[in-house]
Amino acid sequence: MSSPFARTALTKASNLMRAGAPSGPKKGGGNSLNGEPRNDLIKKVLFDAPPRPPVRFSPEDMTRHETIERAWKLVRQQQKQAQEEGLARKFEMMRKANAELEATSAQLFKHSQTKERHAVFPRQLRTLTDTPPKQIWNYRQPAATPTPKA
Amino acid sequence: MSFPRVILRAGRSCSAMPTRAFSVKSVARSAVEPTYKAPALGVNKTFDEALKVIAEDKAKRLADIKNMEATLAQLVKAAPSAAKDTEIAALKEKIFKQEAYAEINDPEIQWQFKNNKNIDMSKAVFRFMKSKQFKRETLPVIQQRTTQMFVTPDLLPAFTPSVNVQLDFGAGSIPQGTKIADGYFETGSFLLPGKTIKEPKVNVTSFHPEQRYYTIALVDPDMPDVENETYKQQLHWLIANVPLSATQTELTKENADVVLSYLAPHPPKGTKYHRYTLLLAEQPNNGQDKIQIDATQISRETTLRDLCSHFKLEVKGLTFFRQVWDKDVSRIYKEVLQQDEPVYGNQPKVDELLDETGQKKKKFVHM
Repeated sequence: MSSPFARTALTKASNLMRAGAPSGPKKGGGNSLNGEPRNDLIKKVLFDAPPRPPVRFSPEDMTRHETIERAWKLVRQQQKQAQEEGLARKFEMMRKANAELEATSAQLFKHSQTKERHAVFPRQLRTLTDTPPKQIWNYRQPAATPTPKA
Repeated sequence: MSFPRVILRAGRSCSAMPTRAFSVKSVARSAVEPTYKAPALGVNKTFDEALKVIAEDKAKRLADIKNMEATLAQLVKAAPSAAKDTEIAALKEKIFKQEAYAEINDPEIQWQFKNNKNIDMSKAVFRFMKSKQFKRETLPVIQQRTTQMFVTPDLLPAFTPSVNVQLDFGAGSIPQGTKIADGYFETGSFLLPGKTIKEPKVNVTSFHPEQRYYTIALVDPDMPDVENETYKQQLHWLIANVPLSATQTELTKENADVVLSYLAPHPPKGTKYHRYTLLLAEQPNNGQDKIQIDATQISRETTLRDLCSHFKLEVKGLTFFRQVWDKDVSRIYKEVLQQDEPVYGNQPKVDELLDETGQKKKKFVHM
């Protein structure tokens, strides 16, 4: 394969990632931010990876690249079209169902169209974060037995 | 070049010199237009898959076109109604777009559009691509120049051109440093009077496949009108019933009616620059009607608004160039117009602080 992208398969950045990934047993207590060696690896990839030279295209390669871009755009267009059609069908079924309900019973219809006024978000939700921990929930942890208070 | 000599030596002496692999044929400098060479398959698998996707999409669209044409045939046969014409027009527009989208992703079509100077405008895809290119590249420039130089409020109300007109006054008519697009001068450029004495070639890029009749007029809106202390329009050129289409792009006077022959632009000395505007107006009934303009109905002083309202013309294309007095204009007045050359100037400045005798005006009256 003599494409200009052959080199990208094994760039230095991906080499760094392979080198950085822990292969053997993890050493306890690494000197990393928040106790996560992954942040060090991210910084290494971002700042220590050398800049790559620009890709040079011949006219033939340029034609190929543009054709590929056009075909990909077409595929995404087709996917979007299929999604839109599906949504339109679902909306139409919903609208028909609502119309039928309205014709059937006024009280039930009103109940279906109104929302609870004093609804509140689930208070037991875990706070969302951009940097979640590796283990979110320990399923293997045994249930806590209540300690007897002396 | 030492290559031919090297090969001769190798043939004669059969020495250990390596034979060259390339040919020594020389290609003429003014070679024929390059032809499209399809990219090789098997080099990039994604490209091969892309071609399959594009071919599938094309087949789907062509099938869709067949269905739409069947419904169009039925519609045409059906009873006439108010909504029928709009429906037919909308369906034709849909068919045109599908024809364009079916072939626009073909790499050969893309190459042809970029590299071929004479593309086949009878194909829907090329008409589509050309119209998009016009709207994206040429139209903003024309609109900006016409509004900046006030061509549109002065000559006719503001409109969006749907046809591209370009003038060619011959070699050397575009001054150095002027921006050029496709070999024609940019709208609003300054041209020299000496280069515009002979009539230009008019190139029209339109996007309708059927033939329509147009009227071409070259107007100068900046001729001074001393009696009314304003400016008046002068018609330099008027040609009616010009047949034009997407494939028929040049003005040929044999097919059209020249009502007013070409009069060389002659901006008089003392006036500011003149905007010589060439307009392309579509004739009534979507360009299907021919019009008859008698010499009695119009003159060189007829304004464009009067002309358009009288003959029900709709202006579709516009271009203009600017000119300023030159020594060649004196020559034009003498040889072409055979008139005395007028020279214009400002009115003498009246000092408001002096009276008729030239003395300072008296503030107080001696009682």
